Amino acid sequence: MKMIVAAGTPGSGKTSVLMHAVKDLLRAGHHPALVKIDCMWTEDDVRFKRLGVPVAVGLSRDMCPDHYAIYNFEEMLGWAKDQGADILLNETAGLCLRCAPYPDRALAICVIDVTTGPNSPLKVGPLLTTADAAVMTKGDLVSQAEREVFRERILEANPGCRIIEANGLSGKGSAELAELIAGWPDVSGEMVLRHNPPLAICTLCTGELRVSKEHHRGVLRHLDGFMEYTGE
Amino acid sequence: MSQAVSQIIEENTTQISVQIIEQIKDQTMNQNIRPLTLTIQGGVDKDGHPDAVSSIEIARGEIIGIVGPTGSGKSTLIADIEQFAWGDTPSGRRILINGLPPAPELRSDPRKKLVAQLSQNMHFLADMSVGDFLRMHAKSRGKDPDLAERVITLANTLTGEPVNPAFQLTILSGGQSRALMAADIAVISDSPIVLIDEIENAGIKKQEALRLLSGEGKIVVVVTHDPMLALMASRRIVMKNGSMTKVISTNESEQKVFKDIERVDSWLAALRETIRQGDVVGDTASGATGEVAA
Repeated sequence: MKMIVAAGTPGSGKTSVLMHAVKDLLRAGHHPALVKIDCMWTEDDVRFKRLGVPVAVGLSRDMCPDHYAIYNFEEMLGWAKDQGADILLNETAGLCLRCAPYPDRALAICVIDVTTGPNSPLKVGPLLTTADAAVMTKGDLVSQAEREVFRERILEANPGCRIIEANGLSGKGSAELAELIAGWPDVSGEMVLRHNPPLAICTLCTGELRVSKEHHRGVLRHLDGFMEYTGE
Repeated sequence: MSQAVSQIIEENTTQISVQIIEQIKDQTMNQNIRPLTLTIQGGVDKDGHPDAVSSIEIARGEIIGIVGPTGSGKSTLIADIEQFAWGDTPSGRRILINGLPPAPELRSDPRKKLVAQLSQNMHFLADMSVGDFLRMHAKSRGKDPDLAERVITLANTLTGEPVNPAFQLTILSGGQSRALMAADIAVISDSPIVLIDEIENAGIKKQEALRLLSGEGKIVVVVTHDPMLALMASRRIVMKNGSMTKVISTNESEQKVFKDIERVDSWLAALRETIRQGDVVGDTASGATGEVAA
């Protein structure tokens, strides 16, 4: 079983890019299955089902969708196996940019929207810096020079990564992505994350709604970067 | 391109930009990779029917036009060339360089890229200063970042509204953006194949821009509705419903028409300048009118 984790901010084109790649994988005789993780709501599963591939949805609701995905990877792999799949594609919700739900042996893909400007590769953090491949979308909306500058910025953030220029509307780049997926080694044994999840030891995590530090306990970081622990 | 056409272009380019172009050629001409031919092998139209033009070969130094109504597939054809399609785009077309399939890294690595493209985009989205952006673009192409200054000087010969390196890219007008994109292609991208999508909408001196972009020994593919630009091409591919339907070679009588259009165009340019300067049109335009009528 191959495992692919596709992350990227909402609206960056993850679903469209993956749909084209799934079509290419099917044409090449592979059996992909897809798990879409989201927070509150998604209809991406309906789009994927039209391609005739097994699709499952996981909604994390009031939990962090990346945490939720991370401890459910084993279940996802088991489900994909039961579906007779040889490739598990996991599309993440893609939210806070603080962590990256990439296990070490999976193919980690960061989908990134060129129209967000050349500073965005520096802002995305581990989602991009620990990815194996960066898929640049919406390149048709900017000039060639801007695409090339964006590419340079991606390489500054993650010098070793493979860059694929894709277009979710026309399907450009999907053949290259499908080839990368098909050639990735199978996952096996125990996997560990490439990057630690965010520190989340605070009163907000347990449901405190009031703002300001006087109501909060745990490890708190001030605007000036000073960290303190308050509590028992 | 015919002798007559080159002569007309020669005469109509201002001395200053000729000098700049020559300097740039000396300093930045990419001597390493010089493809001799670009071949487009036909694919299918929007309904899956094969292109009537099954194959067309474009040689070094040629300007070739792509014409057709809106939605006829002109931009799709340009995109096929830009990404060196290999049966993996919706059209199913294939692009060959010197008769051979291009190596995969030529598709993506900007340092090896054979294609420079001036697309329809009229604005920059990057939140950076003009100078920083150009320096970073030069770096991405493996060129000297100091070329940025040269790009700006050249851009300012194409637009009436001067561009300053300290400007944010996002505040530039459509004309300034396009002038900068064209100058960037001539100086930094400097690829042997140049693709131009509808330069006539650009609000810049279009003929001068085309001359600048075509350089020496380059293959230039220009999508256009503009009669003057279309007739500057030695051949033009006619698009319809996503298909390459035929290839027209320009002839002597078209080139006679071209000369007329060329005169009308300079007259219009002069009128535009008169109005921009706040002068009365009748005073300056009468001589030019006589010339066109003759």
